Amino acid sequence: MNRSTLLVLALPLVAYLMAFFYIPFIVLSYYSFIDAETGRVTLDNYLEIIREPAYFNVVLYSIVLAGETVVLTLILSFPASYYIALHSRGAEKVALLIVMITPFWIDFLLRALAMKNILYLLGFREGYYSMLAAMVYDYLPFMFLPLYASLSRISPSILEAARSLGARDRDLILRIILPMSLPGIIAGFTLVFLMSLTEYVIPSLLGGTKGFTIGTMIYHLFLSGDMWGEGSALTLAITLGLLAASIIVSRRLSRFEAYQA
Amino acid sequence: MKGVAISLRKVSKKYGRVEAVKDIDLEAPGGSITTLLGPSGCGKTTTLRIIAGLEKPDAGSVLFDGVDVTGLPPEKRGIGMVFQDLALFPHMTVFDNIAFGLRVRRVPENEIRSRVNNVLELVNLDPSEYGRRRISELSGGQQQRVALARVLVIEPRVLLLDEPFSHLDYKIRQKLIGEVRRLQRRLGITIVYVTHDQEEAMSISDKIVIMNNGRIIQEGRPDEVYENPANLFVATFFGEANLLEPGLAGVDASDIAVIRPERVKLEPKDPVDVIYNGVVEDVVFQGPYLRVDVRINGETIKVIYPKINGGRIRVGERVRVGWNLSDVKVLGSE
Repeated sequence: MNRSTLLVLALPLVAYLMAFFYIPFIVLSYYSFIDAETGRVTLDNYLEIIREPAYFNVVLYSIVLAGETVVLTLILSFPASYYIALHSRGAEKVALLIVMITPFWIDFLLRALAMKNILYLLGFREGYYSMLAAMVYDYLPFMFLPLYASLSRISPSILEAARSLGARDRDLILRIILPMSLPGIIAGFTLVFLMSLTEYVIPSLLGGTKGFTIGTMIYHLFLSGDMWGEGSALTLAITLGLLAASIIVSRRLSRFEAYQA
Repeated sequence: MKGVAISLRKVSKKYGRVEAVKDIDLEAPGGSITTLLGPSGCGKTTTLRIIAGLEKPDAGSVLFDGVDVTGLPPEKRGIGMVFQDLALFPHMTVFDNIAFGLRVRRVPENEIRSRVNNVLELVNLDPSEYGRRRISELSGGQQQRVALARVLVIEPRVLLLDEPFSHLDYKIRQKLIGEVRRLQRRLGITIVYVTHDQEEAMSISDKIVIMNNGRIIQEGRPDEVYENPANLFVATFFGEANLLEPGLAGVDASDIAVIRPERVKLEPKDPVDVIYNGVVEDVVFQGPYLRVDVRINGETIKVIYPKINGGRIRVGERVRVGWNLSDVKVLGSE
């Protein structure tokens, strides 16, 4: 097949994303520069976001929540993925991987609702920690899988070689295991952080009064507050901010590609 | 510096129900190259890993210069091991790979620099050119040199090599084998070398230990083992051998009689003890010599025929083949 045929085959996907993301996004950008009352072009929506401390606080609050989600998924995933990648084999390895992956075949929203009910049974009501617990639960595989993939690249003989050269546990962790799993950590970090930063479902289901995050705020600006101008400006600013952040991260990541191949 | 003499005493190792190594006694003399040679699964790598301390034997002991080291971990044995897959650290430069063993020993950084550069020169890599390269930027032969340098820099008393050249092509392999021999002579260390390649074993070893099914079958100098194989397994695994049927051998043997292909004479000019008529089945050109298969009384005899003897040999041609009885080896049946 030649280039133009292949391009034509790729068009349905492009059209799909155009219809549901890019065109609405352009419309949204338009609204972010329009004064809702006068209909004139303005920067007021952006200035309001900067001026009004509530916006800044919500963004900071969401960054903290997403950051804690990342750290907890990392702490939970690392030992498990290390054990499965390097210390288990055969049937045990397959069984453990199935145990890790199966929960995530169930729909995200259903699991969030189930989590809410289980937390109720255990005596926890809506609030910050219920919300955090559900976020960690939902985003765990996005940390576990890249981590597992990068740890799988460490062959047992690399660890044996390091040991026979005189490395102690500390050297092994700091000089071999952590640096070699860094690409996985960065990939997991990026995925979990980007997705949890604008999370809407879990804060509104489990956050209660603590559930006012970027996601729920954008929802309220558009649907209950009818503040399309500020809602659009906030959405655009967050999206561009995340885009810039992920470009920086992926550039950093490409330095490791030398040995990822 | 004279290398450490290694002894294994009645060493056994099982994995589950598989007996990898069965009651082995082994001596690797200090300051020489001992090769463990055998087919895959014969226990040679397990034996090497027991010497390294990477595996604990179920029974028996490991002695370095007469001192029992069976309970010591690898890092306390003064060994350097080169793994079959090399196990270089992919996230580090060549320099950092080699410096690893020194850094974990907290050697001062300026001393590390000079020692790493010295050892790079020892393995014929220019420090200024290769030091900063990543492992993925090196050829197979260069990676091999880095793996050697990484263990040599910690000045091991014993160098253990597990099929280190198996993935390299013939020419580079020959070259590196020559370099390992030179290094060994220069540093005087003890080397234990594991391979399944008989040619490699012949060219590198001071002493060869042939293993099969977890046991040592025969040991000795390469030429001794080649000239006097203990049994049919050694005769056919270490070099080539024609198995002679009792009627062909020219000896009254109910035992097994073999002859090396280079001892069989094609169209002999000098008198020989036995001579047969045969038909050429196959001729393969090998540069300095021809490999000729000759059919005699329903048996195929392999012959190595030096090109210098001249004449053309064609498939289907009738030829005379013979040998002297002193070249026929009568072996035990094991």
